[in-house]
Amino acid sequence: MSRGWVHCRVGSFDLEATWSIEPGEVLVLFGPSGAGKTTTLRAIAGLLQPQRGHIEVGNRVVYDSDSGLSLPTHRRRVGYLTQSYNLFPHLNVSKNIGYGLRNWTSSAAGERVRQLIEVLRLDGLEQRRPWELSGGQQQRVALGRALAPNPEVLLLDEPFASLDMELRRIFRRELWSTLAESNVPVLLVTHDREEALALADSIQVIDEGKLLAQGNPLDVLGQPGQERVANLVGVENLFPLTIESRNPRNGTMVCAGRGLRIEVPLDASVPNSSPEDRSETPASGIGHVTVGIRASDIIISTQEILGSTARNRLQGVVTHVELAPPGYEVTLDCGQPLRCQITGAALEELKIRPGMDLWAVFKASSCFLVQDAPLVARRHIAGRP
Amino acid sequence: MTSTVNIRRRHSVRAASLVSLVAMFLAVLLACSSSRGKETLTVFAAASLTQSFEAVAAAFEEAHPQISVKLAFDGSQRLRVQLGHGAQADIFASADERQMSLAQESGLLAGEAVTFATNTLVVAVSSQAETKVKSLTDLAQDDVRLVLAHPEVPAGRYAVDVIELMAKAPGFGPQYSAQILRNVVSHEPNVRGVLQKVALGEADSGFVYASDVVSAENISVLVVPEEANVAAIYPVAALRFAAEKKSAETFIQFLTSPQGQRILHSHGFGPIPSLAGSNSSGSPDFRGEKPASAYLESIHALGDS
Amino acid sequence: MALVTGRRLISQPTPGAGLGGAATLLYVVFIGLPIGALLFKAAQQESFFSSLISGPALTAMRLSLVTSAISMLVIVLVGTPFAYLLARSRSPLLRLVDALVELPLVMPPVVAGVAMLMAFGRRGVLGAPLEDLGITLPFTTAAVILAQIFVASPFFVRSAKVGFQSVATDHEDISRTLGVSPWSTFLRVTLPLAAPSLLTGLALSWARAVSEFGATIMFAGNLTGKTQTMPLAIMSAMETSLDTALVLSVLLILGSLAVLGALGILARRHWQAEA
Repeated sequence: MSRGWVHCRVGSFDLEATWSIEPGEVLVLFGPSGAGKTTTLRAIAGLLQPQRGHIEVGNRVVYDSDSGLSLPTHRRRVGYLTQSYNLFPHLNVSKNIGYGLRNWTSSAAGERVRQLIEVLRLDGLEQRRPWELSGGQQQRVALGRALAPNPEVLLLDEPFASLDMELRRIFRRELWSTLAESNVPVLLVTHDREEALALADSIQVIDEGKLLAQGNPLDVLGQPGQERVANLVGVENLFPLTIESRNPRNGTMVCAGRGLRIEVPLDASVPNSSPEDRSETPASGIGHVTVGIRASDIIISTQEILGSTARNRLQGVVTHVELAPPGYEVTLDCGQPLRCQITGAALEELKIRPGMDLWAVFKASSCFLVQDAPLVARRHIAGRP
Repeated sequence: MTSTVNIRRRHSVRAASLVSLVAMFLAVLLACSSSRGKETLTVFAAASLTQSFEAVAAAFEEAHPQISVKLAFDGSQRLRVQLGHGAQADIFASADERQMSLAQESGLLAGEAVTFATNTLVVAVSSQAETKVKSLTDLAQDDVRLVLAHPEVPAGRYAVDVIELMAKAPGFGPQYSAQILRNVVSHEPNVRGVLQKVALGEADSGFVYASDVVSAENISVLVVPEEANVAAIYPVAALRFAAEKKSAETFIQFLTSPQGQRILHSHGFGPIPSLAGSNSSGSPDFRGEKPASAYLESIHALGDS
Repeated sequence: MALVTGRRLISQPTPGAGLGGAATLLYVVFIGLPIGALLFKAAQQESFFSSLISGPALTAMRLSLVTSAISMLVIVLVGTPFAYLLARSRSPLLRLVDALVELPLVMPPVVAGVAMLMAFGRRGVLGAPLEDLGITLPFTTAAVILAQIFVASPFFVRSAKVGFQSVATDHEDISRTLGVSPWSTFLRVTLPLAAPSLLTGLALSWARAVSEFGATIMFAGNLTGKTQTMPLAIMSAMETSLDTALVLSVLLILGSLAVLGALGILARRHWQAEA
């Protein structure tokens, strides 16, 4: 397991990070580039000296600013996998994987390398040089090299960044199954939502060196409670709207603004709707909310779909069609631009192109309300003295 | 089709610019070698003549304002090779009869060579080594560091001759030559290198021309007795392919004239053998009464003489 | 390897190809003609082969090889850690030192020789106290080596520094996370990755050392078997006959080609051999 907290200052950039990972658990650090994710990993690995902090790796304290303890990197027993893998170009696959086994007996080291080559399906590539490998093979070699000396924690820095979309899916699955077999705690850094959802046991969203949210990945990424988090995790549609009427019986309310009128879940959890806030809104109880809808939660139709349970049916003209792997993103002008994610097959079948008149359909429950002001989840920062 | 034409044209533009570059280069070369205005006399002279010929050229230009003298100095052997490979000059002044006769054999000369000066060898002693090397016999001591010019250059060959002659002379002994040669730490490419090493104190002593020590500092001089000394003959000749044959003759006459000889003598050169009797008064005479193994003389005194 | 060559095959002719071709031709003729003429002239002599293996030529060649080999050993042992520090440190003091490294490159060799005399000569800054201890450097084989180190070391340090800079610190970081100490990391990762640059620098440096003339004649003098290296022997031979000098030049060129060729092969084979 690994846990700790650090405060790092790099130039004018301030980072506060806290983590706790149990054996076999994957903690994902999610955030945009420059958020401080890599800095956190480097601090844990000892490649960067924090201003203050306390770092434990596998029941050992490897850094503690109060007692002045700081183990050098090579004695911390961390596995570190970087974005570009940094395989040693002068060594072949076997020697790369066995690089960290210098102190093992040669038979034990040989056995360990053979075992990893089998698990990572690198058989037959033992003598190849890094530049003779595909991106995915390189990634597996780098993973094997990091796992070989049995690290107490595995630090993965955007391990899929240099792979294309197709490969990412495949290797994510592979990584997941490899990690499932070992019991090593993993700290994974990514800015890819899909990756985070697929791999995380728990997730932390960070930006500008600060923790914004943390918890179960589905909760945090699926329906982010804060606008800043929502922006970060990539909710394609965010609309600032005014509440027109509430329907507590259905648990919904109708919101409108700038030509858009939609039915959304009732605003019980929104701070704006708290009694103090409401006193500031007009007497009718009308308030302002930001509503988020994922592009992939919207259905597109050439005709109005009547007789369905979907509460929202909007008509609009196609303004853009853009490639957005794995499919296409279609933007409809429904008063405000509405972005919808569809597959290539759907695009061809409906012959969607700019200028077409279409209907967008989605459930009220697909919409979620986003806080305007960020709420710093201080209570989550556990383990901090 | 048009694209091919365009490419061709670009090629020809490139070729044209390349040609013009080469043309510019040649033009610069030609400009450098072409004389302008007054007559220019080019003199190839042995390195040991550097200071004396600069003074001679200045006096000559004063006497003949229409002629400007261009001097080039190097080892006699190297100058002779350069001339053989087509270097353009009007006059060749050698420190060595051998190089002059080689030039004669190669058909480089316009006429007979004329001797215009002689030079003798002296031993230069570093001012740091004055206590160690007080006489020529001290040169054979074990801890003396001696430099000679390379045996293939005239100064080096003369030095070896002088050492062997001294070994035969009374007071030195037959071992002298072997002992002294064992002390050689370097064969310098030219006599200037010898002087430099001694003046810097890196070597204790070295054999140089009498003309070299006139302006040298930080050294003392041991004079080699006449019976052991070798007189270097300095011949001069006009060259066959000289552009200014007439001026060349004028310059050679000036060298052997009393005025030219006076300048050469003031730079430590000896008299022309045939004129020695009539012109001995002006020469710094190391020969004659001076004892064999012997005296130390300040170089500044020599320079003043 | 197959991947790399496969990609290279796709390369398209560049727009500058015509000019590049012309420049290459001009350059090859300019460099090749004098060297070719030298070889041709030398080979025309009847006594070519006997002169080639004559005593004095071999003595000078042996001295050149021995002194330059010792110089290279010193340059590599001292220059490698120094170059690494230059490549990795950001201290302003080292920036200054970095600039100083290039100074011997712009000094005329004779000036370098004078500078050596001022420092290590019998009356030099360090030479005078050494003289009192009974150590005299000028006119010794050691002086030849010192002169070579002075003029040749910048070539190695420069190239080695660039080589170390090209090794990503990420590789070194990764090595340390794998439990390998910084010192071992240097030996197992940094050095092998920088090796091609180090070998290139060594070749350049050696070429400079073996052709060194000006500083040697100033500081070490010219004595057969002791301080007369090949360039000095060529110069001395030039006083007698151009022909002997030509033969010695050919010997130097052939010897240099052999050493540089060996270093080049070593540099190219390096990564393959390491696996």
